[in-house]
Amino acid sequence: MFALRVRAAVAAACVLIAGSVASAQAPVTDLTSTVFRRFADQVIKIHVIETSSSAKAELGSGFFVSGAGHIITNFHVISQLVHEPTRYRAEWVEAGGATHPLTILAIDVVRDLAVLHADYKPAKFFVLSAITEPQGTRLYSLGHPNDLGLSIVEGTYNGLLQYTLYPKIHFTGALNPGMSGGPTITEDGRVIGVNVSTEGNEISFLVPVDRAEALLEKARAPGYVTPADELAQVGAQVRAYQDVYLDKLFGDSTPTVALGPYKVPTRPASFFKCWADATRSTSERPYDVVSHQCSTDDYVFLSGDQSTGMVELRHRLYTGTGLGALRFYSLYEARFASGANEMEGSETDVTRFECQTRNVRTSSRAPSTMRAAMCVRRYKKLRGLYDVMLRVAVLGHTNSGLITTLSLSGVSFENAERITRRFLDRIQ
Amino acid sequence: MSTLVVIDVLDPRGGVASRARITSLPATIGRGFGNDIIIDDPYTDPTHVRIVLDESGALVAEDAGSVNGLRSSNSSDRVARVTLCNGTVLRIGRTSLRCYDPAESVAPAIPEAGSIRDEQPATAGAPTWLTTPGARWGVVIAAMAIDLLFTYTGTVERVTAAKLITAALAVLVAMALWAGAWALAGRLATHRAAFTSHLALASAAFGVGLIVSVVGEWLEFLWPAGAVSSILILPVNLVLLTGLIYGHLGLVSSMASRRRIRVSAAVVGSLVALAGVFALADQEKFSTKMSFAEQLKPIPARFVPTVSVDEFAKASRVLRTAADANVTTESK
Repeated sequence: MFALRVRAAVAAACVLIAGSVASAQAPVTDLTSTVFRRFADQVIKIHVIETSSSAKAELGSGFFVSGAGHIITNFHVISQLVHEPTRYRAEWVEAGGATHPLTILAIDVVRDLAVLHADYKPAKFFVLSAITEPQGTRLYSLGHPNDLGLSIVEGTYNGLLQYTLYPKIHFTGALNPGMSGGPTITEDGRVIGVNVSTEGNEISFLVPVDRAEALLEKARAPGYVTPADELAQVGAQVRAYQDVYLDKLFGDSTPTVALGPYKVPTRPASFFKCWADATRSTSERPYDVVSHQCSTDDYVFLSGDQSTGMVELRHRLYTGTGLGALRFYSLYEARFASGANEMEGSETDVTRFECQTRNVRTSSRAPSTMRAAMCVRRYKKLRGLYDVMLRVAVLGHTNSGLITTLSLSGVSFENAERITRRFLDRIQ
Repeated sequence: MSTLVVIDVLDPRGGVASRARITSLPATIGRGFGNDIIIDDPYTDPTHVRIVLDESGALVAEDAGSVNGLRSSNSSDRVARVTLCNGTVLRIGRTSLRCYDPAESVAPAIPEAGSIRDEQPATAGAPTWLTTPGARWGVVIAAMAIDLLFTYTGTVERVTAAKLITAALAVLVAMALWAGAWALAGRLATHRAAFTSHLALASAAFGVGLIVSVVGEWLEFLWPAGAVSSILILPVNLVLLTGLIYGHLGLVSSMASRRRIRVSAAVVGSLVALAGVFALADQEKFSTKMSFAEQLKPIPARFVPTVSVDEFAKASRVLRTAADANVTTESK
């Protein structure tokens, strides 16, 4: 298993195209080989080992950031160690094959970073310091793609992404699975970011160096004690993270969009992306469907089976003038009941859903009567976190209907209740 | 010589193995060849029972001092004597005897096999719609019409006559198979198939069941918090199912009414218990599915009972409690 966080929709494509993209890259320049020679020793290969079989369960990269053996990598590289500390261990592997055990000092699960420690004093290491570079700066990413050996990838700095909850660097370069946690540096060895994810087609992302610097400072602060229960830290960080952005959602200034006779909330914050689509009626399917959906792009990696921190709203307008009231409501009811759950989580991560339904009358300026169903499930290992789905069907029209679904993952129940109240009042 | 009483010796399936008239008293019944009625049953005595007049002049069967005793069919206790007759069933050894008053009338002859038009229901007192051929087919057609209406209103794609007819035929075939199974049972037990009666009964239950389900959906839509399904609709459906089995049993056997009710209730109760076991096992299983009351109905919004957003939010807090409890349950 190679650790590089990929978008779910293109995960398979990234692995498949890794080889072809690598082979299509421009030839390595003299400068590139110089950068590689100068800084390769500071980049390490990290293995996560399953203790009973002593087999490799995960592969990633990391880099030394102090003479005392501190290492920066991604949280998702060592996440198995956090979830099952007795079942897994981490080690870094030298080029010659010698291994050194690694311990976790600090994690930042929201930004997918971790500070590790090796009982080793490297002769050379990267010094973390926040830097600014102009867009277009040539950068060099180091890491261990697909366990093929330490590699260097040239690319371009394309600045910070515009519409994200927290800063991420857009790196145009072919990062591959296994390079997670490695550094992306300028030609003189200054770290600009930590490799974290890719969407394929040379669209890759880095965690800005200032976050890694802050985490390292925290881990090196006098009196800092490594938490005994890192998993509890994961839960605490996710809970704190959601308070930052959920509080702003669906307030009075939330923009609305008209769908037929209805007005619905859209793009509740700048870090949402929205799409729309329409399907016209045919002789076989005599009804129109207009859809409008918005979701956050940012998500928090928890484990190989689960990511969290997403917010998604999906509106569907159904119009069936050729159906008659009874047949239209058969359609309306079937669509209200259907819809796959897209929130991740296996049996070890989450409970089953508990749901209830009520007919609700809102009290906004243009009150609506709607059927509202709410479903809740709890995270088993992270106390106080829930996945919540709210689905609403507006009542009262005989040949048109609006179904809206709001999905919140990894939220406290108090936040979910607050968002639910605001969201219902925004539907008119 | 006039007949005092008629005695049927029954076979293990309840059919009549032999029938005898008693014309003089005392009469005896037993395994010995000198008895008025000879029973081929190793658990009966050579002379097992005597039929005599008691002190009040009533005809009785009394135990002649047998090893395994005399029993009335209603009880497993040995008795010294049983009053005859009016359909009384006695047990001696492993043989059942049924007695008839000689004045009792019998049903007319059944016409030759192959004609189902003149079939008779197994029990007297069956409702008219089960005994009249026109009414029976009327019930079947009415149930099919209800099914067609529901199929049409439930189809959201383009509706064609072929789709509707196919759906209706599928239901008719299923009901015919159900009725056929009961008719076969009736043919074996009482030599009377009564297929169209069984079909009418199944159609009536199906049609009523459809209407009950629609009523349930409307109630669930208007009062989703009321647990309408479990409090109202489920018991109604169970009564409907019990009535269906009761009706079928009445057509295939001569079981007394109370016994039919008990048997029907026992069958339905067993099915409910079985369903309950499966539901319980399912309840604790992990699933990513979201199940909620999804009914939507086309009525003006002002007629829909509602709660406020605040009440909805507060009511949702039970979901957190239930989800928290699931952590413990699913961890076991």
